[in-house]
Amino acid sequence: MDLGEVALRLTAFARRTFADFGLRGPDTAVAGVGLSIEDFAWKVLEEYVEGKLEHEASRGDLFSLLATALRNDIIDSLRKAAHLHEENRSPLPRGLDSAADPPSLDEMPSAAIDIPALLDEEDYRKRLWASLAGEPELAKVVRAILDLNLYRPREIAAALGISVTEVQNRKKRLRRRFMEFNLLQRKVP
Amino acid sequence: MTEREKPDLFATKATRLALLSDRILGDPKEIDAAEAEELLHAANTDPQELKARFHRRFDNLAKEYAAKGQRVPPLLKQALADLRPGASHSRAERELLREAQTAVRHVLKQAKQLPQLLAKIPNLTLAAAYRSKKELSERDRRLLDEVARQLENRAKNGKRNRRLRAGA
Repeated sequence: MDLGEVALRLTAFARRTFADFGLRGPDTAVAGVGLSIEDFAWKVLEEYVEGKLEHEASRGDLFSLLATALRNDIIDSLRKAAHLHEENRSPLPRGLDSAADPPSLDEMPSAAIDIPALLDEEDYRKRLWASLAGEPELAKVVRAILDLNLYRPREIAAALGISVTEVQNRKKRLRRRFMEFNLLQRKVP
Repeated sequence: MTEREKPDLFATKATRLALLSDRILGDPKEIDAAEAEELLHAANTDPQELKARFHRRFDNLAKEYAAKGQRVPPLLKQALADLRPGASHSRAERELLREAQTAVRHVLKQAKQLPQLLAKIPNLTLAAAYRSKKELSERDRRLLDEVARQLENRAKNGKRNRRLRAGA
């Protein structure tokens, strides 16, 4: 397998995973950990070429293995970021007599990401639907998946009366739309 | 909730979200190289520049191995070859190119060895071909005249020998 292609596909998948978790902006890094999309893709590839991450054909194709490792790394980083966020909270409540004083640094709203919100499925669905505004064809695919509980492209194609190729094309458009939306949007109401 | 339970809940929620994403957006492996390039362009990332950055990182990694006197892992060498700036996009194309280069190198090597190989063959006779020539050159004429003379002599000698034998 061409490792140049793997690098591009992994970076694109890392971008999708950032979008999944609502990590916004083109140059986002996981707060507290400081790793960017490119860093995560590089880290997994580095582990693979150095033999720290071994691929066995019986465990599926190489790209799936690397993509899973990459997603797990991002989840681990989010966990660390959440942990750091909790550690940084002031253990002492503000005294009544100091209410008029400006808040201390650790009382300021954290510039770090809101970790619980990132893992919220409802929030994910809201972002997904918002990204599909003005795209009825893509919305139909998502409805078939979520409402009719269909998974295979053949089943979705049959339910929508379209070809399997069209389902795959729409899913491709869906991925791009969701990721572009994530890059542009700062917050979903 | 105990501290021990927290990470498990975190992992569970993250995994559930990842599965939901795979269900809707598709399996990670559905992103092929062409789509990856499109997605990167859409995010203002130039795929060739990205590959060049990865190449630099792998190059530094290879230098670290060399500095420690360690053998560079084969997959690291492959990554350097695959990500080298200016390298062809497709691995298959590069393999074809490599095969063609090897074949040409082999032919050139044999061509260089031709004089030595010819020297090893005893009494090599070169046949002159006249078919494609419209006129005979001066040299060709001399050669043909020489051949004609030799044949004439051979014929004369043959007659003389026959007469001598008949006389005897």
